[in-house]
Amino acid sequence: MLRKHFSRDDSLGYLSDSVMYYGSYSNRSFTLVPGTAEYSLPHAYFLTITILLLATFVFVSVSMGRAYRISFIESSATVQNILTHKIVCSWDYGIANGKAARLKHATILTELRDYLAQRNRTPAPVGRWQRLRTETLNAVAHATVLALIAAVAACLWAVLDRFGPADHFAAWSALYVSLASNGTMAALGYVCQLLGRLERYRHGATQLNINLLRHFLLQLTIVAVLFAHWLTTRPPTGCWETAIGQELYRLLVVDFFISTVLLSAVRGVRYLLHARYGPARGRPGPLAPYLTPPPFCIETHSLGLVYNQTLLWFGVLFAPPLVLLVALKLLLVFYVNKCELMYLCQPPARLWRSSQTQTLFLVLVFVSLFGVLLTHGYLIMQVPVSEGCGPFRGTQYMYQLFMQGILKLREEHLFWRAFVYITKPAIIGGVLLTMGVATYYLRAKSRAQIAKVKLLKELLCLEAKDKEFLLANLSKVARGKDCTGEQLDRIELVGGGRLNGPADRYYTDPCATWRSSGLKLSSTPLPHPIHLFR
Amino acid sequence: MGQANSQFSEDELQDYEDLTYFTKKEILYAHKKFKNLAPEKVGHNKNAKLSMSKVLEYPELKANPFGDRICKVFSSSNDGDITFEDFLDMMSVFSDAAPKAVKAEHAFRIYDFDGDDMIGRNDLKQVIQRLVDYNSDLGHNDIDQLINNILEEADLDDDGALSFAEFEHIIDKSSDFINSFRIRL
Repeated sequence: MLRKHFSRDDSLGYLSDSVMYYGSYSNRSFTLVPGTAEYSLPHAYFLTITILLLATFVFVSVSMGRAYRISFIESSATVQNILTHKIVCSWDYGIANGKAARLKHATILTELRDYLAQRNRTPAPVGRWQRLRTETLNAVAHATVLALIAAVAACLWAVLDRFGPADHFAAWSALYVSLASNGTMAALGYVCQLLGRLERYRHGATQLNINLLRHFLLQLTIVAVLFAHWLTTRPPTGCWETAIGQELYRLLVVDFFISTVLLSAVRGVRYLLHARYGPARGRPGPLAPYLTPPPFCIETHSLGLVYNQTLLWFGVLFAPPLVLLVALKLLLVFYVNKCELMYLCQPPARLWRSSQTQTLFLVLVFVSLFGVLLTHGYLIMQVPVSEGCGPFRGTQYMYQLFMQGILKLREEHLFWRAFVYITKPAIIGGVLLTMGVATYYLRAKSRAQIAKVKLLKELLCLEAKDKEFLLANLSKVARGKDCTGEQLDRIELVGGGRLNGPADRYYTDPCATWRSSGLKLSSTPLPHPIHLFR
Repeated sequence: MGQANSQFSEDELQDYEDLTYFTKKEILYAHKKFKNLAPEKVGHNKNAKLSMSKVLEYPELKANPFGDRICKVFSSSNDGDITFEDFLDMMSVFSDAAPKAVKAEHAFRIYDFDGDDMIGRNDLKQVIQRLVDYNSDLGHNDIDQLINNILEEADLDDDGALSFAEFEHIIDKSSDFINSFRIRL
């Protein structure tokens, strides 16, 4: 059944001619309802896709900005590490079933024990040789990872050259590219994690972030290699756009099978092994300590989502129904992951700070979307359209349709020239640089705020101590005039004090802030009793 | 819905809407959920008082380690028995529309077990023990160390307990608190 989708008989395969691919959209305009204006399919296609992508981009940027502001600038970054915050904010009051509650209790326990272990751990050695050793290890790990990623890119390019343009509709070799890219992503993810155990960073959080970034870099490289290859080499026959569309469908479906179905099955098997031979059961085998329940890796799943979205945004230009496919796929992935978490996996060892992690992933999504938009920009401007298929046949480049058809401009027009000038890489680079500088400035401001708050806190503490000291001295002096010491033991900080004794001259002084508290005076009642702080 | 409408007059609904962070529809929905806990009793008297054990059957409260504290804080008779108005108040504070300050104040009262307006060492000990579900993996020494660390970080005036101002100071700076201190109807 799978083969029918990807196979080609003497004419193009059944689906190649359907609306699933770019090639089948016509470039004619027609009237839907007689009497009204014409509905031009090329214009509609172009505008729909462009508006969709731009709207998504704006939405993602705004979300990212808002999340960044909330989680990094308004809340001081140091708060995320302190214990009080962990204790007060750790229980999610929305949890409604017993199993989730038990999971949460276990996670909190692990987090607290990790915290205690970290506090009690002997401090990192600060000797010169030790530091040099740690730095070298880190550098070696970074270099290894970068080398691996470069190797993966080279191999992938070779595979694409070998299998890409071949007449692959008749054989399974069509799937090699997809299998290769998805397989390497999964495998290299594990390798990066193993490498991560060698290095030692001061905070566990840094280690996790670095792992995440490496995995993301790997994904980005694979995707970039694929795009570059598609844009530079042409298949010998037919539309290159349709070929890209087909490749994307393949990639997404294969990714579903590998990352979701296959890896879930592996985790299921591991859970069964744990249930039968694990350390907590009656007959522990020799491998018992290794058969722990599978961990639930939030970062791998989230990066998978980012990967799917990147492919989707790129492919929307070539195969619009990709949206439906990806929506369906993500729905299935969600339910599969949910079942996995509830029944198979042990809870994640770290309480992921939801808002900060969300910001990080939004940044990754923004970066990939920006890359996709740049690629599209290049495509629209510089890559010639296929002659025989698609809604843009007839024009040489896609943007010409926009300019001439929609804006009815000619090449020498001022707007055209201004537009071409703006889209030069230097200007875009300048804009990005300005945004980066603005972000850095805001963050520096917030850090300065934190330092100021710390200083003010210390100042408050010192003032409190000063006040205590002064009041204690005053009471000592006052006690010298009167011998009942025990009633003077408690000095109240709110400008009050207890005083005993009719002979105390402070009591009659209206400027003093002493207050009497119901002690009867044997001699002169005051004309104006001082009850300042009743 | 029509049946529930006949139980509340328009004025009452308007009053409830003014006093809580809910709309009229949400108030009626909350009443429906309250009624599910004890259909006959609430059927007789729409503002019936349910005992704490009945209220703790509500799913989010049952799963919550501080369920009994929540009931005591919101109970108007201070013994844990909840009327519908108490329940509405509770859900309104836990809803999305409640501001951070209101949530912080109620969180403080929930965590203050002995009711002395300060979260002292005993309160913190109880909080930690309930959070880990009285697991024996966290021993007394560990809990003491945790309490010491908390007081070191958050207790600004060094009186051995957290006052409301100190508590609010921590909450102000966190963005996770609103997300976690929320029950959706």
